Amino acid sequence: MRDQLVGIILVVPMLLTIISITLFPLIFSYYMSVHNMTVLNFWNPIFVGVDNFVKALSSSDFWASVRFSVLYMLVTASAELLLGLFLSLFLERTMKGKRLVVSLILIPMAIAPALFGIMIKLMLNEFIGLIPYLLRQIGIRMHFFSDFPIVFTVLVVTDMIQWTPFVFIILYAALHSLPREPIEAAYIDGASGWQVIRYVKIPMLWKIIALVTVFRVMDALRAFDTIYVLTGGGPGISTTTVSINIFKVALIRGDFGLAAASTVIFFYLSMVVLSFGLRTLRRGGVL
Amino acid sequence: MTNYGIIRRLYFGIVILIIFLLFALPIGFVVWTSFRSYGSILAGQFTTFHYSLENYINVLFNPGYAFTKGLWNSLIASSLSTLLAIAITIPAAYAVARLNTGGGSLISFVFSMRLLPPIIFAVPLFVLLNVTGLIDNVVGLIVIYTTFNIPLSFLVLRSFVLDIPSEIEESAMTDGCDRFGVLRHITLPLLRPGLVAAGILCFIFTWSEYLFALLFTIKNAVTINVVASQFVTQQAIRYGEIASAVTIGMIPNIIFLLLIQRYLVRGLTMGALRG
Repeated sequence: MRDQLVGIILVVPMLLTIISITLFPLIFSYYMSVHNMTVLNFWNPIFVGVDNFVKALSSSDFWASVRFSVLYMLVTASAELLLGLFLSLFLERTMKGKRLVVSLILIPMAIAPALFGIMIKLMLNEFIGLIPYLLRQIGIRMHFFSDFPIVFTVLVVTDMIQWTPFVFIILYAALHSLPREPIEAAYIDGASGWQVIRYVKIPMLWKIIALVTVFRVMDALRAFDTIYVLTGGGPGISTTTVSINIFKVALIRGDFGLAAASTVIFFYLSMVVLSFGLRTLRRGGVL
Repeated sequence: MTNYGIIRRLYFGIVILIIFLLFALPIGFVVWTSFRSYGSILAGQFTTFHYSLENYINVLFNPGYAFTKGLWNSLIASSLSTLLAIAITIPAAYAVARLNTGGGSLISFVFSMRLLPPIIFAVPLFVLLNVTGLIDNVVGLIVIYTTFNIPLSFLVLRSFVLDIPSEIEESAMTDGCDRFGVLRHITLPLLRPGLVAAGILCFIFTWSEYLFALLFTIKNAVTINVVASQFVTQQAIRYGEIASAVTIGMIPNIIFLLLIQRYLVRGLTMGALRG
C-alpha cells in the first residue's frame, strides 16, 4: 500500500508532462477540427461541425498522400528488412576489420535525416554531384527529381541507406546472442548453410524481426524529413506523405481546422496499424 | 585455389564494396566537397582538388549566415531537453521497474507515444505555442523536446534499473532506508551508465529532429537542421558552404553514436532488447 503511493508520487511528474504536452494537444485538435480556423480568423474560430472532416475525406490530395505514405511504408520497410537481415547474416562470419565495417554501417543512422537529405541532394546535383558526373562519363544524362519512378527510387534508396543500419544492428546483435547448440546440431545433421539460416536461425529470430518491423513500419508511416528536403513533396504532389500534406495545409495554406481534421483521421489510421503491431508483439511475448 | 573458393572470395569482395559505396560514399563525398574551394567545386571537375577552409570560415564567421545561431540553439535545446527528460524519468523509471506502478499499460502507453507520427501533435501544438507566445522561442522547443524525449529516456532507464540486483536495495531498506532514500543513495549511483546512455541517445534524437523545428521556429529559435535546409534554397549555388554546414551538423551525433555503440540496440528498441 505504501509502496503504491510512493510509486504514484514518482510517476506523477512524467505523467503530467506527457498529458499537458501531448494528450491535451490531441484533445485540442478535436476542438480545432470542428471549427473554421485559419490565419485570418485565428482568434475567432467559427463552429462548422463536420465540414472539415467532409473536406478532408473528399479531398483527393489527402487520399493521394495516404496512398503514397502506405506505398512508401511497404516498400522501404520490406527492402530494409531484407537488406538488414542479409547484412547481419553476412557479417556473422569472423573477418579482419569487422568492427570497422559494423561502425561504418551504423554511421548513416546517426546523421539527422534532414542533413542526410541535403547530402543526397548534393550527391545527385547535376552540376557538382558525383552520380550525375559518373553517369555523364558513360554518356547518360538524367534528372533525378522530375519523373515519379526515378524520384521514388531515390527516396527509397535514401531511406534504405539511412535505416537499414537500424535493422542490421538489432538483428546482428540478436544473431550473436542465439544459443549455439541448435545451430551446431543442425550442421551435424547435415544441413547446408542456407538451410540452417532458413529453418533454424530465422525461426529463432522471428520475435525480434517482428519488433524491428513494427519500428520500421511506424517510422516509415511518419516519413517527413528526408522527403521534404529532397522533393518538398513533388513533383506535383506525387511524393507528398500524410505528414507533408498536413504540414502544408497548416503552414502554407494556413487552414488549421482542415489540418486538425486530417490530423484526427491520421491519428486513427496510425492507431489501426500500431495496435495491430502491438498485438503481434504482445502475443509473441516481446512486450 | 578451387573455383568455389574464387567465387566465394569474389562474392565477399563485392558485398564489402557495396557496403562501402552505399553507407560511406555519400558521407565521404559531402566531407570532401566541404573542403574544396569555391572555384574547384564550380569547375565541375572531380579530377582537380583545391583544398580550402573557406567554406567553414564562411559558414562559421560570415554574419550573413544564421548558422552559428542554429548551432547554438540546437546545442541549448538538445542538452537542456535531454537533462530535463532524464530528471523527470528517473523516478518514474524506478517506480515502474521496482514498484510495478501502472503495470504494463503505462509502459505500452509510453511506448505508443514513441511510435505515433509526431505530425499528430504538431498542428495543435503550433496553435498552442502561438497562443502562449512561445513560437520561435527556444523555451518552447525545450518544453516540447523534453516531452518527446520522455519515452526513450523512461524505457531505457527502466531497463537499466531492472539490471541492478534488487538485493542491494532490500538490504538498505532493512537498515531503515525508505524508498526515496534508496533511490537517492543506492540506485542513482549504480544507474550512472544508464544515465549516460539514455542522455546520449536523447541528445542524438533531439539533435536530429526536424519537423517540430521547422514548424515552430521562424528566425530566432532556428535549429541547425532548419538553417542547413534553408541554405539549400537560399544559397543555391554555394555548395561548399552547404556541405560544410552538413559536415559540422553531423559530427556530434556520429561521435556520440560510436561512443555508445554498446547500448545502441537497447536504445533503438526502447529497452525491449538488451543487445
